[in-house]
Amino acid sequence: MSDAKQDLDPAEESTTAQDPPPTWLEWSARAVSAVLIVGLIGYLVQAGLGASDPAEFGFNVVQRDVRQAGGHWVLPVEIANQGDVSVADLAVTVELMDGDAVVTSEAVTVPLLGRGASANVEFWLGADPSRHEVRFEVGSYLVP
Amino acid sequence: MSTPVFAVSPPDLMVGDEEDQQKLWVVEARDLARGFCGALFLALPLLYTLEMWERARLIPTWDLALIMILAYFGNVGFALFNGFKNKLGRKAAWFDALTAMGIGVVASALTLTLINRLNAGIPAETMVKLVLLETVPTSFGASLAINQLGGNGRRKIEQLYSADFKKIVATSLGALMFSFNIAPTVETQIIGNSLTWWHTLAIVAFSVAVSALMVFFAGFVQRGDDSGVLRTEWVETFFSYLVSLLVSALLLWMFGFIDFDTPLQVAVPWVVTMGYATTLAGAAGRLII
Repeated sequence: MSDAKQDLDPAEESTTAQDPPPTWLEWSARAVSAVLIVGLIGYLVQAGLGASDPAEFGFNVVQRDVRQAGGHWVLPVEIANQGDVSVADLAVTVELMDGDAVVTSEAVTVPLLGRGASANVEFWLGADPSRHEVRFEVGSYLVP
Repeated sequence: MSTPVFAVSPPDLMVGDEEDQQKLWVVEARDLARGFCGALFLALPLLYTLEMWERARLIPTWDLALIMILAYFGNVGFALFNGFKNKLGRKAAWFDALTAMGIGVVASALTLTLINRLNAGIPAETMVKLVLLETVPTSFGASLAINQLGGNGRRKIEQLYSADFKKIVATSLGALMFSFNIAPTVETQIIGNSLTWWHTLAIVAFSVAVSALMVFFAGFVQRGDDSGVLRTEWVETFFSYLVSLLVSALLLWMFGFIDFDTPLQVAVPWVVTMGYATTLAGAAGRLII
């Protein structure tokens, strides 16, 4: 211990005690902080423990917003990540089918789709989607 | 006689010198306000950073939990040497670090809500991850409030710890604080991927040289205690560089760029590239503390 250190009083040296001790205001701030941090991490850990499903996607065509624009048909689709992992660079292709034949197709890449999150995309197609079967295909994605 | 850890003062207790007496609860409220402002001042750029929002969606739960534990100890380090209180006798590093993290949560959540990064359309788990990830820099900002935004306290902290301990902690915390703004961005990898081994070696040499220049030759401040193992200039410079590289690797891991499976020939240029920033920041940290 240096000589200078001997000039410090116990509260100045301590990493837990204060002089004067805190009021209820500071104790409340500490308690709220502890609850916030432990609560948020606890929620996260609980969610993490229950999560095990691989990536899985749901596609929902927003029929009421299908429209014609600029010589194309615009097909709005909500893509939902129903799995338990977030994915990046999700490549999705939509195909309008006439029997087994593909009439037209269009691809889109969703940069990031978190677990439980959804993204709204619009495909610009060369044929009327209401006259054909609409098929979605996931091409690839990055798993963290 | 030492003060009990869990003692409570009456809120109307008057503190301060004879000319400037204030109620203790008012002083504490000012401390919290100072911490809150420090949190926003340091971390606002990261609250506005796309890579932080993306990382929150991709980061594994257990990695984030580990990061929060490490962030708590980082805050303890900041609170030991800095903090948001301006009187050493009222500092309690272990508790202050906790409060700084609480301030960080509130500052992050409020700002992210205001800028519409938190809203009802985002899954709860993603929101929790985003707030916790942003809490790391905001809590650091709260813990550094005195240094950033001033205060009238005279720190006597240099009397408490050995010179070696101060240098290592100062290098780590300085590197961590400054480089946090760079770490989430992809530019470090872009630069690292473009480097030849000659570039990499040159960055190593230049980082070490600039660190020595800054601490020992530029004369920013008069250096204090020069005892301990790291008392010679070259030992301090090289050991601090190693610490800075470790901080670089930690930051790159935290943002998902490297892990134990990353090939060395890929990771080394990235760590060295980031190490340029952490070394400079670590040198600045050793000057400040």
